[in-house]
Amino acid sequence: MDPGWGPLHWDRTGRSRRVNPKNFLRTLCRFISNPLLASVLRVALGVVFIVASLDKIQNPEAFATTIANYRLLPYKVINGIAIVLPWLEVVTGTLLVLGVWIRAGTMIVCGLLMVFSIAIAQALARGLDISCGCFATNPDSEKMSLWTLIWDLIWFSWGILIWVFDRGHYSLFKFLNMRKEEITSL
Amino acid sequence: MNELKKIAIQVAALLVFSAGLAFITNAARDDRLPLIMPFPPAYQCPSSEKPGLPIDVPVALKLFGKPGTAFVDARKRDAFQQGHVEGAIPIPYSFVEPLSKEILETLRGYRSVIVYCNRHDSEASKLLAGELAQAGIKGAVYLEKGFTGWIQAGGPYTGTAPEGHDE
Repeated sequence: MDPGWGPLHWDRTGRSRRVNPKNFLRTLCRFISNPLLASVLRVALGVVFIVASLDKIQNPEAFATTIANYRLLPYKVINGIAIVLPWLEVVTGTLLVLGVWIRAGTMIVCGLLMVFSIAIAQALARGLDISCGCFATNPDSEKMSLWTLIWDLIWFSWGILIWVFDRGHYSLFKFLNMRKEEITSL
Repeated sequence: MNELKKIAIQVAALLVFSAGLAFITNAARDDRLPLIMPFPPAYQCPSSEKPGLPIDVPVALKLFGKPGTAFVDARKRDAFQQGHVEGAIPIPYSFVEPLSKEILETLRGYRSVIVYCNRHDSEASKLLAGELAQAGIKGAVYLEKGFTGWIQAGGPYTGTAPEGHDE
């Protein structure tokens, strides 16, 4: 039998085979490029953004304080950003969950995550002892740490996978089209 | 190319829609946020939410030259180089730049730290004094009437006198 036939293959002797790196990579690529995985990540990312926006929509003044804490932007633009950003998050998050305008929503989400990552990285580098403002506007909530940055980068990588592999196989439009075809075929 | 164009139009539409929704809901709120943050910003953190305490020029003149008293110039570097209170330390006030540890260590050794600028409303010196007080610097106050008031009262200075208060 060809040695290295599949990473989980057990030969007749019952001894485990060594994992063949080529097959392992092929399996990994197949897993990552699975449209179902991309759709699951899309919905998860959408939910993350919707949840993140809720407190900020309810407390725009506190969110403006959080943005000011980063000491990154001129103060005149802070209120405008505090008003618009949460709504942008909730709208793009909803569209991602529903699978509508997937690539546009993913582009916005990845752009936001890149901006957040830069803001967090510079705050950590400058030693600013502030809360992230990612999910809560309370300045006394958990202070930002390296894990905050790591999570942003993880979500950014989800966005990349969604951009590359999600073609809307599991989306609202697909579902509605299927229902339409079922109805017309009756 | 068509695909990218379509995505760009969708992104623009999303941005416009989100911004419109945001501004409409903000306008409908009782506690609406002003679109432009007013100066002085009430949201400075981690520094003080309140501005620093004032000191008037005659009192500052008495403290001038005494050990344990420092004058801090909160104006920009070029304004400082044109003229400043004799012996003043330049610490230009910046909203986006928090005070460095070195500056705070330098000022901790003083009993009185008098911050001045040359604005009509003394805003820069007020905020810097508040930030210093919040950071634990003892005796941090701001000079009422600023550098112009100091010169008019006959306070010692280096360089040229400004023509008047800044806006």
